[in-house]
Amino acid sequence: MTFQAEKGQFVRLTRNFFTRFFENDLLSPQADFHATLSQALGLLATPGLFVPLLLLPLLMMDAEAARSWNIKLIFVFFSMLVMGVLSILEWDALMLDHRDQTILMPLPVRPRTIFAAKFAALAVFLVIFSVDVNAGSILLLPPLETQGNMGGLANLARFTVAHAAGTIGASGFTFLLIVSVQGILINTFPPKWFRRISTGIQVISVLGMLAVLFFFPAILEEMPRWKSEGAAMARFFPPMWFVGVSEVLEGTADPAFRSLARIGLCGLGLASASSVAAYAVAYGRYTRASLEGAVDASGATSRGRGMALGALIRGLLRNPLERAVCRFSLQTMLRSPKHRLLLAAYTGTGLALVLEESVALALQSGQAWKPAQEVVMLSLPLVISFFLLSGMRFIFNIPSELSANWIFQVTERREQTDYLAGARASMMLLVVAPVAAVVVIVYGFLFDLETALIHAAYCSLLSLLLVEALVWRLEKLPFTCSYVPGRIPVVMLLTAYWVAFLFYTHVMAFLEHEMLRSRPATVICISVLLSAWCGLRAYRRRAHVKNAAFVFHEEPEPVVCTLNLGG
Amino acid sequence: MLEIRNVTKSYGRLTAVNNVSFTVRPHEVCGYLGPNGSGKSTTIKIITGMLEPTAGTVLYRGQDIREDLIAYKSLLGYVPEEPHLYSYLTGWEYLQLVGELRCLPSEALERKIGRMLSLFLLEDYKYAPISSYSKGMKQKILIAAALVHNPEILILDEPISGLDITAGLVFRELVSRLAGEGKIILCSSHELSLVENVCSDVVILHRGRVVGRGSIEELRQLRNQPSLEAVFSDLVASDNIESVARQMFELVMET
Ligand SMILES: Nc1ncnc2c1ncn2[C@@H]1O[C@H](COP(=O)(O)OP(=O)(O)OP(=O)(O)O)[C@@H](O)[C@H]1O
Ligand SMILES: [Mg+2]
Repeated sequence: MTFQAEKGQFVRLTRNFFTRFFENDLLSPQADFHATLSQALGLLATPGLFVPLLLLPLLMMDAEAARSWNIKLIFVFFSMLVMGVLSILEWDALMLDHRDQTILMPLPVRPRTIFAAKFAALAVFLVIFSVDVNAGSILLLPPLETQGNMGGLANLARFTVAHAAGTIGASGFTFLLIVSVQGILINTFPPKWFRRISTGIQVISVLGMLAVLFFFPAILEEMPRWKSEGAAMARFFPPMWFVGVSEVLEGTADPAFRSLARIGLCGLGLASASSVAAYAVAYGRYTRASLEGAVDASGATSRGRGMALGALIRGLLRNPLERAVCRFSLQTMLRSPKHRLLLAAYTGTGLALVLEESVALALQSGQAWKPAQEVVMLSLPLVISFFLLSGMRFIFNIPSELSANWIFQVTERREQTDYLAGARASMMLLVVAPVAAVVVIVYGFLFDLETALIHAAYCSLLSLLLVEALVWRLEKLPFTCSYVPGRIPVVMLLTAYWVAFLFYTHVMAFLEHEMLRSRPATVICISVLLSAWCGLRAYRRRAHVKNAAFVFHEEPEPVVCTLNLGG
Repeated sequence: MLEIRNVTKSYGRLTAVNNVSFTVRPHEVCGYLGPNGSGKSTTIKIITGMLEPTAGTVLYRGQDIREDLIAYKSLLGYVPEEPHLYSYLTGWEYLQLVGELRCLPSEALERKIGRMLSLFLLEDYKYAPISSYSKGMKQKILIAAALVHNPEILILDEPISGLDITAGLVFRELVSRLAGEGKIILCSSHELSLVENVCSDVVILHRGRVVGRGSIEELRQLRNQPSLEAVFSDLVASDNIESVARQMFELVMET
C-alpha cells in the first residue's frame, strides 16, 4: 500500500472516529453531527464564560484579587471537573468498539492505521475540548489581572500563557489519567470483568467528583493553611499543582508553588507516558476481546438477582401492566449502563450533600445539639429521597434502546393508570422502601426505635406524596420515547426544583421537629399526611385523571430558527 | 376479515406505498411479495397501526382500525423485520414483559413462556441477556413474542429470516395450523418456498403499487408462467436477470 493511500485512510478514519464521540442515543437519531458538536462546545464553554462574568464585579478594579491564586484554583478545579465528567461519559468511546471493528476488520486497512487514527481522534478531542472548556476564563481573566499598573501587552501575553497552561494542563492531565486508568484496567482484568468494573469505576468517579464539588467551598477556605504548611497538604489536591504551574509562569517567588508546579509537570508527564503506553497495549487486547464479543455482553445478569426481583414484584403487584412497567423500569435503571450512570449521578449529589451536612454535625458532636442542627439531622433522608425520586423521574425521559420501543406501541392498552402505577411502584421499590429501611436502622441507632419508626413513617409519607406529584401524569412511558433536551428553560426548571427542594427538605424537617415535641401532634401530623396521600390516590382513581395517549417520538425543534429576513 | 383499502404513504416526495388495496380473510395466509424497497414493510407498519397512512384506510371486520386502535392492537401479533429487542433483558424476561403488557395472567404466562422457549430450543439461553443471542435466536424471541397472547391477526414481516432449516420448517407448519384455526395471517417474505407452501393467496408489490394479486395458481395461469418465481420475475423485474448479472460481473472485473 502506498504511503499516500494510507494517509488517505488515516484522515478518513480519524474524522469518522471523531464524529463517533458525538453519536449518542440520547439524542434523536437524526441529530446532525455539526449541530451536536456545536451544541456540546457551546454547553461546555458556557460555565467557563459565566464564572468570570459572575466574578467580574469582584475583580473589576482589583487586579490584586484577580491575580490571587484562589481565583485560579476555581478555574483549574472547574476545568478538571468538566473534563473528568466528559471523559467518563465518553468512556466507552475511548476504545474501538464492536461496531467499528466489524466494519473495519474485513477492509484492507492496516491495524496500525486504525490505531493511529483512533489515537489521533482522541488527541483532537482532548485539544478541542480542553481549549473550549477553558476558553472563557483564558480570554477574560488575564485582562483583569493586568488592569491598572500591571498593564502592557507583554504582561497580558504572559498572564494569558500562564493561565492557559494551568487550566489546559489540568484538563489534559484529567483526560490522560482516565485514559491510562482504562488502559491499565483492560490490561489487568479479563474482558468480561472489565465491562463490569468499568461501570463501577464510572459510577465511583462520578460520585467522587460530585463529592469534591460539594466540598470545594470548604477546600477553598482551608487551602491557604494547607499551602502554607510547606505545601504538604496542598500536594494531595491535584488542582493546586496546576495553579502552581500558572503561578510559576507568572513569575512567583513562592517556593510552595514551585514545588507544586514540579509535581504538576511530573504528573502530566507521567499521565501522558502511562496513557500512551497503557492505551497502546490495551488497544490490542481490547480489540481482540471485542472481536470475540466478550466485552459487549453488557447487562449480564445473575440469575438469582433477576429471580429475586421478579418474585418480589409478583408478590407485591397484582396488575400485570403495573408489573410489566415496574419490572421494566427497575431492569433498565439497574442494567442499562447509561441509566445506571445517571442514577449514580443523582445518588451521588444527594449523598454528597448528606455527607457534607453529616460531617458538619459530627464536628459538633461534643456539644449538645441545637434545634437547628436537629432539623438538619432530620432532613437528611429527605434530601436523599428528593434527589433519587426527582432523578428517577428525569431518567424516565431518557430512552433506552429506542428502536426496541415498538413492542410498547403494538401492545398499547387503554388502562393508562396501570402503566403509571407501574412507574410509581418502581420508585417506591427503588427509593421509598430502601430509604425507610435505612432510616429505621440509622436513627434507631442514633436515637431510639420509636423516634426512628416515626421518622421513617414521616419520610416515607412525604416521599409517597412526592411520587404522586412527580408521576401525576406522564406523557411518555419510562425509557420509550426519544428525548429532546431543553424543552423547558433550564433556569425555570432549576428554580422550580430549588424551591421544591427547600420546601420538601428544610420546611418539612422543621415541621417534623416541631411535631416530635408532643405525641398528639405526632399522631395528628402523621394522620394528616396519610390521609393526604390516600385522598390523592382516591381522587386520582375516582376522577380518572385523564392521561393523554403516550408519545413515542419527540421531534427535535430546529436547531437554528431562521428569521427569514432575507428578501 | 382485514381489508386494506386504497392505502397510500408518502415520505416527503417519495410515495412508498401507492393506492394499495387487498383483503386477507380468516383461514387464509396471504403472502406479501415485492422487491427491496417496494413498500412491504411500510404497508405492514400501517396495518399494525404504528404508522398513519397518508390516505386510505385499513378495515378490520368492516371498521376502520384507527377508530379503536387499542382494541385492534390487542388482537394483533406482529413480527417486525428487524430484531430490535431490549438487549439487557434475558429472553425469558423479554417474553414476560410482552406477556404482561398484554395483560396475560401470570401463572399461565410463565408456563407458556417456558414451553415456548424449550420448543424453540432456547432452554439453555433463557437466563442469558439477548445481547448474547445469535440472529436466529433473536428471531425466535420475536416470533414467540408475537404469538404469546394467541392473536387473531398475525402480521409477519420476513419471519423466517435467520432461522435455521428445521426451525423454518417448524414455523411453516405452525403458520398453516394457525390459519386452519381461522386466524388472519399476512406474511411478507423473500423465501418463495415458504410462500408457495403456506400462502393461499399472494399480493405482489412493485414500486409501491400492487402489480399482481390472487392465488398462486391463478397468477401462474394468468401470466402464463411455470412457477411463482417466474410470475414474480415477469411482474417486477424490468430488466433481464441475466443481463443485470452480466453487467454487474463486468463492473466487478473492471478494476
Ligand atoms: N422512515 C422513512 N423515511 C423515508 N423513507 C422511507 C422510510 N421508511 C421507508 N422509506 C422508503 O420507503 C420505501 C419502501 O420501504 P420498505 O421498507 O417498505 O420496503 P420493503 O418492501 O419492506 O423492502 P425490503 O424487502 O428491503 O424489506 C423505500 O424506498 C424506503 O426508502
Ligand atoms: Mg421490509
